[in-house]
Amino acid sequence: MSREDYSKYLETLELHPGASLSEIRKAYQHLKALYSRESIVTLPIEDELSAAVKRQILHQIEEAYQGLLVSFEEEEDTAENEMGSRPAMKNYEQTSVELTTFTGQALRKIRERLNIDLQDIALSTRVQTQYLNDIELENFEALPPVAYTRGFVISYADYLSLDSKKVADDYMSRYSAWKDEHGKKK
Amino acid sequence: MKAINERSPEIWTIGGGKGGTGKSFVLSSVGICLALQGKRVILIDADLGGANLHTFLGINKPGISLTDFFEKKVPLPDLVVDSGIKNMGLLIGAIHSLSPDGIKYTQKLKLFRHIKQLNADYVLIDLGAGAHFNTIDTFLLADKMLVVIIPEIIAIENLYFFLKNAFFRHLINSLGRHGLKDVVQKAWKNRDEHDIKNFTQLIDYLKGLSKTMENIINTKLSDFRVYIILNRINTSQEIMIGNSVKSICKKYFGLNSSYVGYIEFDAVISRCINKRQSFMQAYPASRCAKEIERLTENLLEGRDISTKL
Repeated sequence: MSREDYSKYLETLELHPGASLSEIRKAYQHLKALYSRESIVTLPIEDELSAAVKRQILHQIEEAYQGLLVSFEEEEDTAENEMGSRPAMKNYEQTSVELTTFTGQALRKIRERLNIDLQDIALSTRVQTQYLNDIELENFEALPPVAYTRGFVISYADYLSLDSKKVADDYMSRYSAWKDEHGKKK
Repeated sequence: MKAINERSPEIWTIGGGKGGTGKSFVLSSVGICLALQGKRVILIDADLGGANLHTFLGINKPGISLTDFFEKKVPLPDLVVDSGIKNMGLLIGAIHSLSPDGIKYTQKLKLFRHIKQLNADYVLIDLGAGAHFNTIDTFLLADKMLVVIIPEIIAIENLYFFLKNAFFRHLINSLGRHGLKDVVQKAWKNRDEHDIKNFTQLIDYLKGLSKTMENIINTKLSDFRVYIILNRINTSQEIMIGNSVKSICKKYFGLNSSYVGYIEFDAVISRCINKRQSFMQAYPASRCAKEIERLTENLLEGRDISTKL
């Protein structure tokens, strides 16, 4: 990718040169939400900001994000990967769609591959880092009752742009099985 | 928007459209931060209709004001009173006799000229609410233009309105110098004919008129920058509203801005104001005071807040 494209993409995502992958991802998610949902920031110009303009802005954001992901992939091509032939970053969305089992370990791998810190997720989702860690470790004993844990898993999965319902359904099936086995202590 | 000579103070103005967003509180607090760093600061209360900066500093209404500059020709430096804070002086707007609309254009230019000659490092000018052209002209006088919003839809709506007006005023002032003064008004008057419904369409239409117009507009867009301060946030999620507003300004209006910081809601602040106590001095170790210090630093450096956290 040319230097020019790189700068242009960063500008579109309103980032400074040298932004990390996790910053890029956060900026992307923020902007995508901003231009696809209603908020107090967009509602005052709802009559001006037409659907077509929004679509165009969203398209640019998407293009910039995908472009930047590719640049990171090019950079890290030499990095070794425990998962064997590493799925390319741009194929990441597809990979996660194909996954059907979301163990804590699998979730952690996805998160690490995206270069996202647990602290980032904690800050954004308001779920304590300790619980997020317990989710990844499948430390069911330390996790709160079903309704809460499910909520935490959904927030976590949302943050990674995963299909949160699918993730939560799968994850909670193991949590419930564990609970049944260990009586009704909780 | 350029300093006349090396000794001219750097001028910061604060506006934003809606009243009650905390402009005066933010400006007086930022002034205190600068003064505590040893910088010589003069606060000017140019809220000509409702000057009350003195209350934020906990001092009585000074007996002299800008009225004396206009009516009795008292030199501007003689109207600066002690603010009660070291390194910081206060100059208050006319409270009586002079109606805000009553200033003549030439009087305004004279005032601006004298402001730029004040002996200080920083001159901070507080503006009233609204988007009246007198307010906007003073706003545009600045080396740094600050705007304050709160996380409420009305404040954000008013900000967009204020910025659009400010930018057009900025553009028209410059077009006037090129002998193209009426182009914008004419285009807007005949907007139905040209199918112009909003700011962006008007800008696009004007750019399409000629290469000269396009160049002027691009220059004016690039030298227009506001510094956004988000006041009175209730949750950490609201921090991002500053980023969002900045994004809309750029991607939709084409206007540059920097999001320099936020200030949390703290009931102690209103209590301080009501007791006529300066919050920055009464609670220097509070979170809000730290947030104000941080945003002052960002303003000095001209950089954005780091929302990485």
